[in-house]
Amino acid sequence: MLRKMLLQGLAAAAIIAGAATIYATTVYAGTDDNPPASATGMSQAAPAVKSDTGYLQPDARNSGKRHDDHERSSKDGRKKDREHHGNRRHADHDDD
Amino acid sequence: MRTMTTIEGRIMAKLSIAKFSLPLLHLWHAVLAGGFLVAYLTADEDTYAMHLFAGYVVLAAIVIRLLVGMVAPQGNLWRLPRPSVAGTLAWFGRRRGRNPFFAWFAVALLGLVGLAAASGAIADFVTWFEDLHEGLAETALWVIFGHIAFVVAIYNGRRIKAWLTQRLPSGLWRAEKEVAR
Repeated sequence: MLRKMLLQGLAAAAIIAGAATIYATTVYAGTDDNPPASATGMSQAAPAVKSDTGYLQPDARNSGKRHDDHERSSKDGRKKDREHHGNRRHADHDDD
Repeated sequence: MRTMTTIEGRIMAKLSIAKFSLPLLHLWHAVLAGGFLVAYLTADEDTYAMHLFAGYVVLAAIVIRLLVGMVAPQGNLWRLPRPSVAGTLAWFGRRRGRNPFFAWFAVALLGLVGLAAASGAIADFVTWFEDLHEGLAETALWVIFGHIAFVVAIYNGRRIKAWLTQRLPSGLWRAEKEVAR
């Protein structure tokens, strides 16, 4: 019985994984942005990442205030990222 | 005046669930286990959409289990487990009937996995819930390991013990036989 239940669980996992893959493909196909594995998408998302890291940027450290263009909370930034990028979060980028 | 028991019994009778209780319970268990497995393996930023899908499958399974468990009649497999400390201690005294740890594990897992799934759904909108969600999911995983070990020990315990005993050094094997007498 245990072997049967184990096989049932694995079969269910395979079906759910397949459905989840189709869902993920549909989500990313429906947006204009690149899928998360795309390297080119990182540079496009860099300005948005600036505000989303939660860490103080050199500009913010000096002025004590964020620039208007990037003036949004980390939560809003993350939420907007999820809406447009499927909740991708990238490594911090150093300001040039 | 109709009582809740009568209404519950009518619902169950109409749905003809009693006849398929065990197969449906196995199906539900497979969906829950499979969903948790996929959700755990896809808990990464690059596979977030898959993680979200699997997580909501788990949440739906838990909700369905809780709803059906509340209306299932007494004695039905779908009835929600209600273990008690007094009943557990009494079981240790007589060692008869179903092991109460089945029910304890069921309660623990329904609670932990349910909370992990619910906190994940909230974390989708409230970011600071992510740490709580991760903690609950990791804890649930360890309880799942315990559940698997318990079930394997209960159903295959004698076979495993016999297999291990036969492979012990001969001196220990003789000592085991003397203890068994």
